[in-house]
Amino acid sequence: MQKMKNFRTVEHYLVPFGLALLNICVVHLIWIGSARGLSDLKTVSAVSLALLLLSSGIIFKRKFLLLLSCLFYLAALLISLIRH
Amino acid sequence: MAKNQRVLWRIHHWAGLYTGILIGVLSLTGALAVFIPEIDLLIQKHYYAASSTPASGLHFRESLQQIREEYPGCYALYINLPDGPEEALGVNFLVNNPETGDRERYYYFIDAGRDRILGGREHESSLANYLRQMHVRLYERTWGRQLVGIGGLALLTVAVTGLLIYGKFMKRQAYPVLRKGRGLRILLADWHKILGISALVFNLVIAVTGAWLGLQPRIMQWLDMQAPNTFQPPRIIPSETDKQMEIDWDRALQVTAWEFPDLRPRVLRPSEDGSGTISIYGNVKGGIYERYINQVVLSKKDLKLLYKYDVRGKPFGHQLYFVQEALHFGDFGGLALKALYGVLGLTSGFLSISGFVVFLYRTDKRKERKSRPLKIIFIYSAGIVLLLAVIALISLLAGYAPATRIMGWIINGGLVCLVVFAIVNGIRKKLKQRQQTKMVNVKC
Repeated sequence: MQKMKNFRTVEHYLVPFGLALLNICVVHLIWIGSARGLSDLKTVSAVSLALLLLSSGIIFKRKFLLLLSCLFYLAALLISLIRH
Repeated sequence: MAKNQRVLWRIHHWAGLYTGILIGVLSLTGALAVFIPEIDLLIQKHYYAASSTPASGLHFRESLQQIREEYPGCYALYINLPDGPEEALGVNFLVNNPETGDRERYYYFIDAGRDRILGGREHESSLANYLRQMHVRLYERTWGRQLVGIGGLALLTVAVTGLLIYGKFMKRQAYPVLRKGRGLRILLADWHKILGISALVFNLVIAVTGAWLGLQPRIMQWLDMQAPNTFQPPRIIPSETDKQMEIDWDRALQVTAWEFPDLRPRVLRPSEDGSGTISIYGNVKGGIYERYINQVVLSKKDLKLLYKYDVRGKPFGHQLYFVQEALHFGDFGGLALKALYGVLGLTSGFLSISGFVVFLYRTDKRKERKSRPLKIIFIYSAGIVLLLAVIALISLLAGYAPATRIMGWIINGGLVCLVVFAIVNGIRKKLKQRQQTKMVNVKC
């Protein structure tokens, strides 16, 4: 029962949420690369790390990795929006 | 299935079934439309052999004068500055055809190094215009744009309902596992779910921006909204005097660089209405806004700054208005982003096809079909691609007007036939049901 609940949480909620953020993250990274290149190394690094974490979370289906990567990218996105 | 889930599934099913073809066409044309500037540049370079000789500065005064002499009635003229060092400069203008009275738009290529006209074309018959108009209005002049907007709403509906029923349909299936060896219907159903959820946010952005861009004129009309940045300088001299005024373009660009350093000028528009101004439109690097929305207006007489529009400093409403087109066409992150948009843009087309295949297989036993599902899909897909190719050829060879007329007959005629068919089918089903009820009552 617990296993099924965990499966549903990861597969039906966290993975779709992670994929949604991955969509945004990829576009974000390409945009920064084209708009600012390596001049904004901090943002490029943060978004690249978020991309790596999100991809890993989706591939390995680890609940806490997925949660962490989603929160990390949301924070990076918010900071990026505030700064610019 | 719970009642809510059943309702959501029905909405997803019916919206997808009835607008699948529209979504499929917009998906294919959209994936191509993303690359319109690049495609047009290739055509300019290789078909028209239009390029600029390397030189310091841009030279086009004599070529502009030649064009004005050849087309004395030309109006709405603007100059497209080249993006790269060897690209040709473009001069775009309208003329009224003396025989038909129709408005025609011409685009001339100028060698900006040697100030020489290299050639020209009628803009509406160009491939670039075909790709844009096919996607933006399905080449239907009356209400094609609104139809495309409805397609955006349909995509939004299927995307949202698809997300809400995703869990129920995945059940114990993990992402992105495909169930193999269980037939084409199951395989395509799995691909449908996996691609749908993988590209969900992208498709939502395309749907929302597409719906807005399609329905924008009507929505703005109904809500009495004004577009941002509608600066109109006052008229101070006669129109003919305005058109004849000499302009020091080099100095104008220098003043622009001083007044708006971040602006990369792309379009120059000398006034013809008597305001005696030059409007310079361009882009700011890193902005996610539609092209040429930033603006500087200078006086023709003394090149004094009259108006400046930098969207970065404008209210949120302005920024939201101008972000739609760039977000929709991926025109803010270079070629890499366009490539991503091109690939992801095809997912909605695949989803409409895979959804239709699943529907056909599911209803295969119930309905007596003459052809197998894959054959039906092939006929539909090939037919649509053929239609798009034929309309393209007509537009390029015979002109924009005949192509739009034909497309208008096909779309409006097709919709009328669909409605009539649905009504007749519905009546036939009702009559059949009544007959069956009568027979059951008689037996009893």
